Amino acid sequence: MRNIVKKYFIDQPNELEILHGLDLEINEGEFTAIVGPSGSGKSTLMNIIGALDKPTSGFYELNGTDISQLDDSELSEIRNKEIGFVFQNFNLISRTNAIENVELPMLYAGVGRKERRKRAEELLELVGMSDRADHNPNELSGGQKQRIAIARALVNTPSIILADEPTGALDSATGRMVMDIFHKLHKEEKKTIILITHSPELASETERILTINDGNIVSDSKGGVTDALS
Amino acid sequence: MHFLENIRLALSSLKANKLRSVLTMLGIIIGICSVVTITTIGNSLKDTLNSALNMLTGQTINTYYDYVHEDDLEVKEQLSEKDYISTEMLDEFEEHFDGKYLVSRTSSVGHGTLTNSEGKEVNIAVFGASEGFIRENKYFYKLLEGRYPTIEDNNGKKHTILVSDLFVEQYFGKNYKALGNDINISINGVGNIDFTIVGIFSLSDSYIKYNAEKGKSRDQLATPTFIPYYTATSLKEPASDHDIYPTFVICDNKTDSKKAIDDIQAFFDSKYRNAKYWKPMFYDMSEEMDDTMMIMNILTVVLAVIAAISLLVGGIGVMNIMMVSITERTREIGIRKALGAKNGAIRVQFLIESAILCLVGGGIGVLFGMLNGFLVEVIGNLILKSFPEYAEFVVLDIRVSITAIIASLIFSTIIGVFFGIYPANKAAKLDPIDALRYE
Repeated sequence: MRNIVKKYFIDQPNELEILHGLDLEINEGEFTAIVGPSGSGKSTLMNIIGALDKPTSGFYELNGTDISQLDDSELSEIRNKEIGFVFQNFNLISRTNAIENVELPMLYAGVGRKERRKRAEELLELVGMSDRADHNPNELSGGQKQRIAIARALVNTPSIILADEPTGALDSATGRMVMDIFHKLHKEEKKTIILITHSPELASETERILTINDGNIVSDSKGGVTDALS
Repeated sequence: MHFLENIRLALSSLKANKLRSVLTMLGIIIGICSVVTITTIGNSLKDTLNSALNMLTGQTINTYYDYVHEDDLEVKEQLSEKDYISTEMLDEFEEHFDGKYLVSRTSSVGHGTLTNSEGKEVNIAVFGASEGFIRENKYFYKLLEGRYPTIEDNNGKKHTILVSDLFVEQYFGKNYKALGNDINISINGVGNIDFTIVGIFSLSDSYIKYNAEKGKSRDQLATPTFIPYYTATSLKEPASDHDIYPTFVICDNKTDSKKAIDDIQAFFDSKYRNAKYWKPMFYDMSEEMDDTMMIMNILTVVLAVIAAISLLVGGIGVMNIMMVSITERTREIGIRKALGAKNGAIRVQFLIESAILCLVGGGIGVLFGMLNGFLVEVIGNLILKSFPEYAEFVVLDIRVSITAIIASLIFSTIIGVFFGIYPANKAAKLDPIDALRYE
């Protein structure tokens, strides 16, 4: 990811530049934390990494694909196959039971019914939620919901797991449990995980901490302090 | 994403909101129900009227006279006896067409009395009739066995007779094989004329019922009998040498009335080649029936259009609910998009939801429409039963046309898709980031 700039209200009097030309490289299998205060541009960066949004300028390559040049439909496909989202507020679809929520990304990938069910069961097993497969989200606790969400994020074997404050809505014990799942995924499955958080404690558990402030990466525990503008 | 998956998805989200789905469908249900009801009743009434008119007037051609010089508006001479169609022409006509077209001829002879072997007196009404007359009135006098009076019977003034099944019962007894038997009738008090039974017809139930109401029992009823036309005229008084307005009967099923009119017109045109002022012209009831049918059709269409307006209102209701539903489910749409749903997939999901709403609503509407038709049939026939003299000819038979059902279902699906397009597009174009943030 090179020289990423994101502007809003382009060419209008109130034009707003959130990211000022970020450079970032994340390697396969890395467990990275992105930290920074509110308004630092961390969410914007996450949206761009997650292919939910495109940079105004700059170059973003994911597994050899230039994401910044893709159209809506191609971005959907990248999100579907390459990115696994874990949100702070879980974002499970209500009135749809756990296993169907897990199956959802496969549905959009065009996986057959039987195979979907089999794979979803495997992943529920992995996060220890097999016995809750038929429950609707409103019948589950926060930690259970987040584990379902993690299963859903993993289902299409994405290149990146993008977790946005995954423990933010959980108490410390369940938060711990969720973090343990991430560690397990990282160690045992060699997953690339990007954890967005404002908690230095959680960040310190990861291999690499990127600190963002005011639209720039101000520190990178791997490469030492950098200044994107310099 | 597979189409069936879309349908499953739509069904599950409609099921999640049962009450709202049903209320939304209500508009479509009422709309389709009224369209189906109106077209069903309209078409059935038309069929009923058509078949009743056909029974009573069909297959016959009537006569009128027209001025030869159509462009000459001033009538120089009144229509008079010498312009009338003569009896000879009619004889020639029947010979010429050899049974394809017949002339309906009848004359009343009078009262006949018979005494059977047991000394019981049986009364009859004696008529002279041609084959054409009995065929014309086949709904009143249906030939059970034997034959119609033939041209030979007529020309030979033969003593053959057609009697009713009821007469056979009165005179010979029930189930007696009366065909070929001779009977001796005293007509208008003038006695002892022998006739051979050549045909037996059944009397319509309404005839018997009608007379029964006048206080005549089945056993006493003087049933009509038919002897050849010329036999009748010879018994009573010399036959008139003309028939002013003869009625012609088409005996050939394959010939339609237009062809018959052309044939009959051509035949008489050759007879009236030298006519200066008047010549006979021929018409059938179909033109008047066409007018009646057209009025019925217009009425049905107008009512159906009014009903279709309620369908439109229902469609707008569906659109409204879809808009609400999309706003309510903005977050769900955001999640789906984040998980890789393309705009097209979201659009199809909501389009199918609204199409299913309307299709199911349409299906229920069709069922209710059919039910209404059935109720009208039951009630209508109850009313008809209080008019026994018509009950036999006018049978209300409600049939729901398959085309109307299919058209309704297709139309309601189209409504669903049409009124679903805007909301579905709106959903598809939602920005995933904004949608995810939506509370």
